[in-house]
Amino acid sequence: MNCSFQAISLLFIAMGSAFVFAKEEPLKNAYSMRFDLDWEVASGLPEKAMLVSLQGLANREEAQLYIIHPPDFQWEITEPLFDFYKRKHGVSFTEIKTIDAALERFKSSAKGYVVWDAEVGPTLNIAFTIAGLEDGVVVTEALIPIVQKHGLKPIDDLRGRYTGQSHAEIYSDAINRYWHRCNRDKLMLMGGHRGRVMMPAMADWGIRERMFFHELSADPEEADELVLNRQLLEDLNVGATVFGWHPYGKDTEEQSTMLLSMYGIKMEGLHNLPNLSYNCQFDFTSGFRFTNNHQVAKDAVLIAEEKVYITFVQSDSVGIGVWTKPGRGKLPFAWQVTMNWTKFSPAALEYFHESATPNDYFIGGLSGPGYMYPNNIPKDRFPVLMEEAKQLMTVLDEHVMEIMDNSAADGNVGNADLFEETVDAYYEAFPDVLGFINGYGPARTRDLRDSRPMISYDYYIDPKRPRDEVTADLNELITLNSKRPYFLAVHVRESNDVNSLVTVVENLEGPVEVVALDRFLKFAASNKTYETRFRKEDDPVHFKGF
Amino acid sequence: MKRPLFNFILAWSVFPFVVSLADSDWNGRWRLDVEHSSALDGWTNMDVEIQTSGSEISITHDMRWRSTRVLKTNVVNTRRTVKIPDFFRIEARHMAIYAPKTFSATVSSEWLDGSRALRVEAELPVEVSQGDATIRIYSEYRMGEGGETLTLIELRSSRNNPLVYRFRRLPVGDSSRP
Repeated sequence: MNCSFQAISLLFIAMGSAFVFAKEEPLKNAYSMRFDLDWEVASGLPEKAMLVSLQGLANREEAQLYIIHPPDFQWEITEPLFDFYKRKHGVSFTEIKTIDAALERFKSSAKGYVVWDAEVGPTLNIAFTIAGLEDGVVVTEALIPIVQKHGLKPIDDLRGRYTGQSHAEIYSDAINRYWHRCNRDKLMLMGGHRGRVMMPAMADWGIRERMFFHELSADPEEADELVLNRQLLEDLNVGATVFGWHPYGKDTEEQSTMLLSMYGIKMEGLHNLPNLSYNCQFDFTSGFRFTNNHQVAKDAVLIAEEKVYITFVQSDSVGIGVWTKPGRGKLPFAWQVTMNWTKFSPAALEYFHESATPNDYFIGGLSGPGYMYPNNIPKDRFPVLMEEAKQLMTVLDEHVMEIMDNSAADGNVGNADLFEETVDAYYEAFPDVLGFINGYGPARTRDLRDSRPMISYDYYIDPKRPRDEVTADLNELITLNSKRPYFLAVHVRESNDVNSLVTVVENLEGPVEVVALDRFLKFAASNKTYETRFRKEDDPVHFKGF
Repeated sequence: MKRPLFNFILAWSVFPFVVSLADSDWNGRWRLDVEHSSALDGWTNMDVEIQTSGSEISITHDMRWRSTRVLKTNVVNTRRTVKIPDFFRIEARHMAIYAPKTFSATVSSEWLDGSRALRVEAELPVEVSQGDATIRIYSEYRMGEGGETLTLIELRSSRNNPLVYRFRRLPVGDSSRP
């Protein structure tokens, strides 16, 4: 895509029009490669890193190379999306089977190669940064002969340059050398897996967009790294996006996302999300328009009966987990859509839409036009960001906003609540939604204003929890919340099996009805049996903040 | 059966336990056998440390969740019902059942079966999405033969399934944490 597409698309969004784009039609003949699951530094990673860097360059001007991952890869949709491109966009793919063949086909996209040091993990990120700026591929020492065979020349060699240095020292040097030339609207936080296994499947996107790659910690206890991390964020343009994911073992998702949110920066994960350099070049198919599976009209009034209403929501991005697994459609399910994919991956959203069953209902999130923690968004940025979210929700025909602020939580337990002023800001920003869902783990932020409830999850289903215990947990909540109606919102973690939830539902006690989220909120608006509550200053917190 | 004979047989049937278990035999640290216990939720593992002192029994829960540690102690008394502020329960942390900001649980306890078992019964307030509620928790700690295993059976008034936690005694001097 020439990324003027984004500006054009947002213009159309702002006009409230159907999604029609003035983009050039991508190539009808493209290439594909199949990856295995070996991302070990000592074996599979070097070739994969080279190939994704080549993919970023090959896809810089045109959509040429798509990578298919095995079904067990975290992003399980690459094969279905591959079929979608063939079927709906008429793309004919030729499979490339070897690294040698890939270089032969796409060597003209690269000007040379950058050597990274497999003994010093961060040099891979430095190499990716250089590769984006200098049009290079990244190689380890062992791969030098093969790139030389294809006529590529050395651009830089990082072997030995950073040996024995701390991450802060390494990235400090890299910032001095490269940051001034990098994209200031997009930054690549290439963290995630570290050590023996690294999984930089999103590097193609960073290279295509000439981003700075880093894995600096957001943990205040690693102050030397945090200073550099903040320096990068402060230098970004207003409205910027950080792609990738926080580095496992160095900081926490909560610390990292809180830090970004404090700068009003949007987060798009994960570090292993593949093919954005290819996906971003496609529009929605001609005439396509999102129509959600609404079960109830926006202005309808439903009256709750004296029973238990349960609704299930999956919020770990619709592309991860259970979408392609058996059982979907057997229960009403709400799916939080990564709304920014309208810009970066429209075909993926269209694929989800076309494969949705009548029981699949899409909702906006997470907290805004990207993954953000709203208690921490600067007040002057909140309305602007939520206006962007609202426009995306209009395009996606979504009537519910899902909110998550885990800045005080401890993973999927602990404090995920919203301050009252945050709740106020959401009610003001989204006057036309049916309501709001809050939390990740359970939370206790609840309210009802006019006909818009804000309900937090009363239960989080850990995929490893035995199903009979899940059943008992839900029955216990039903017992303790003894007034009827009782509104029980359940967050379903990404890899839960829908079929197993059918069994759980069959074993619930009392007058229970599983309903779609839009009906759930309408019922919850009719009889407020839940207590209004917001986060209090003295509520327990896990991370005290920066 | 005549009453005296019955009492004689009953006394002899419990005698081995009576002579083999003193209250202090419970003292020590016990580590959860995760594989053979009810699934914890929102906790990765736990130790229980028991210390007796006269009629007071201190039950400390050493809980782990990823890198987070929580250490909480309930002190019960076998001679009287006590009010225990901030009473610790092994909660399922993925359920929206919260401890109120300030609360006390009413707790009674007694030795059973010649000190082979300990009953602890607590009535405690909780906060749920509809407001305040109360849970009654019946916990029975049972020492295994030989004193190397401990089983905790927990019944809640709000839950029809019992929870069973099995522990193994840690050697004296083992300072490891769960």
